[in-house]
Amino acid sequence: MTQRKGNLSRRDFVRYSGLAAGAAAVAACAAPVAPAAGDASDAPSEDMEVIVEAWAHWEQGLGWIQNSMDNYGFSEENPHITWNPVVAPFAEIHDKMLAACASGVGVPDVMRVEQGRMSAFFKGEEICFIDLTDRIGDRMDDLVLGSAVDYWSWKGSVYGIGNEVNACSLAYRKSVFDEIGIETPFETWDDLMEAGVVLKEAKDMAVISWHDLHDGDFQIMLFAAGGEMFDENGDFGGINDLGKQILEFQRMTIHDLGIAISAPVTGDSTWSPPIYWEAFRQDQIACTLGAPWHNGKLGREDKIGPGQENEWRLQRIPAGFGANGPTATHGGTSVSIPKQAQHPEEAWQIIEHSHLTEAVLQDSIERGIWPSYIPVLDDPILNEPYDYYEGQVIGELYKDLALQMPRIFQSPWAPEFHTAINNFVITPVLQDGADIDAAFAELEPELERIKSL
Amino acid sequence: MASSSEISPTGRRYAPGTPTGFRLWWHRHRLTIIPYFYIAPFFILFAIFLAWPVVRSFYLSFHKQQGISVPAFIGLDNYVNLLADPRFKQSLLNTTVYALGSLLLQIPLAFILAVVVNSRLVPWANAKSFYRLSYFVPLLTSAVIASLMFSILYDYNSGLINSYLMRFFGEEAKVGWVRNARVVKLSIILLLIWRFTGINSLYFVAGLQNIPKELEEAAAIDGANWWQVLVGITIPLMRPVILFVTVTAINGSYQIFAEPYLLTGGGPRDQSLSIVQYLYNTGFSYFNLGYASAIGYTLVTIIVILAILNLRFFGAFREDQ
Repeated sequence: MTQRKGNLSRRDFVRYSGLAAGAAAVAACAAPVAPAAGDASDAPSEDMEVIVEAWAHWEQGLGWIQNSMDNYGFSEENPHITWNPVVAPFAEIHDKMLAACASGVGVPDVMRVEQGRMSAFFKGEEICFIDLTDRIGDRMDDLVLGSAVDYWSWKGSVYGIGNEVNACSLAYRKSVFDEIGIETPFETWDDLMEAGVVLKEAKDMAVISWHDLHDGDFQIMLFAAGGEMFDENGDFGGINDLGKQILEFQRMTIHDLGIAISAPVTGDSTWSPPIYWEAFRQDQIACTLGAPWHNGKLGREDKIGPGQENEWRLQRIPAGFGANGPTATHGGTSVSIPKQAQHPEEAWQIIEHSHLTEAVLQDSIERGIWPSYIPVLDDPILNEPYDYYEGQVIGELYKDLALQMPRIFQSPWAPEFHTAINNFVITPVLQDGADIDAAFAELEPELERIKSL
Repeated sequence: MASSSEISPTGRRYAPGTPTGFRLWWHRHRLTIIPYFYIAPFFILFAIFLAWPVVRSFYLSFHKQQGISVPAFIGLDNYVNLLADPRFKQSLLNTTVYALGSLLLQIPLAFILAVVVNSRLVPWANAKSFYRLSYFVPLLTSAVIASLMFSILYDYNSGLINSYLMRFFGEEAKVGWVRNARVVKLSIILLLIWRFTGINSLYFVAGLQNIPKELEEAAAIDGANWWQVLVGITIPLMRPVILFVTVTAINGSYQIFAEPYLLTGGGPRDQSLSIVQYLYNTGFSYFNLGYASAIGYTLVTIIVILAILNLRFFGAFREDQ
């Protein structure tokens, strides 16, 4: 059939549709020209209403900031600034953050980035976030830097602030140790080991559980011992005598002495799922190592809960390895401002107010966390006796630990490295009792391969 | 005063009100053009959300793009690195084991179930409908719920399976279904069997119902027993359905993501990591978009090759089809 002149053929139509769609796609994908962060000429006037959009993976993580704005005078002083929280599940919101940064489309004003997901943003030459170093300025001295900024810092620049001081400590069930005549708190890991032998014999109870699908315990002990998980260049810093000693201690307590067990966790939740705490309720484990969000308030329903009141205590991490430090940081979520944020100045105003003033206490009131802002650590809210620990004033302990918090480095390859460390070292050694030197020897080329990708 | 006629550019005279120019062109072509507007939304959305990402990711697979930096052309390096990547090899092995699980366990089981439902063992039509509906239920259950359910069943200390094992065989019989590197793949396969055997069985039931009864009756009159009828008549006539189920099951197995991701997170020691999960981790956790694209295209290549092999094995290209 011949084509009539002037008729649009199907082929032409598809071609033109494709062109139109391509043009639309290119237009949609083009990064909008973002106002330069901090450019005063682009800042809205005081009269103009500004909605600061913030993304996070849990409601309370944004809710307490809103409440701190309301309760500590920010909203009154800045009625034109409102907070628009957007919450989505953990993986989804972090994927959205990466996609927004990569495309430059739909970028919020504030992102709450969990420390484990921050390193992805440090890949490549360009970093998605505004450097907050100068904005924080001298107030760095007011922060517990190991918890507040180190996970979100790279090459000397700070790209986020975490409001929690994640000072790790050891929670131990004092009542069971009292029953078998063991003196607590434990000065050293050797003391804990000796207590474990007695405890196993007397009550068939594990003194501690080590995570064999997660390198968290290894990391905490390494930091406390003065070691580095990652060095300033982002390389793994645990392949040394210190790392081997710590791992050997953990391996020995499980495989040689039988006084520790593998942490009862699930494949998809490898730190502290509900079945982890169930083991404590069932009198299977007597100690747990972790940050305040983990073992700070074991009386909570989502931890051990009712039934073991007055039986637990908190203490510093026992000495015995390397520098014998009393604590380490573990976990946390930042507030960070993307470079392409529409309202970076207002976002910073909110962050400054909620993280660098007493307004940070709002999160302590709501969730019972200890703030990384040092000037408030003496506040009565943080220094009330905790009944579950038989009236122990854990705020005093946390303040003491916070002031001795070791500094750490982040790595752009952190997620890949953690996976490799678990696959090649932690799981084989703690689960199967594999040879530590051989495990570390296998790990080294894998880390190099990951870096080369 | 208006003229009584208008002259077109070609010199032709038209009555007043007759469209000219664009309006004339539109008047003449509108019936050809308008239908395209109706179908255009699909093509535009397809181009933006499917065709463009496919083209873009192919482009990225030859580039190094980490984070939000500008892609740098590196030729085939991503593909070469994949060949030396132990995690990719492990994920490929795991996924192949899942596919073999589908092929050797799930499909035969589905076929047996279909034959049973279609046989005189289930004589009532209502019972047949009940079974067919029951087979479909696991597929209607979301992957999240199914994985959560199996994580409870598989739990080491308080899971139902281990509690029965302990009751009958003692404490030592407990199995780390999702913690032990040696058994975790089996745990995933069991979950997949639970989820997908039913739907495959339904395909087989539909195929079995299309086989003319006369053939089976004639064979029975000639003295063929049940087994001979099954092997000599039913299975050969079911070849197109078996091909369809095999190809879709293998394709599905190579694209599995949700179940291992939700049940084990790919661990322990990557022993349950699927290729798609590795792709996802590489793209979103590690933000290495170029490498993730190369993994994606390698997966596509594998699936196409397997599909062609399947089609050849089942004689789909034969002249007599």
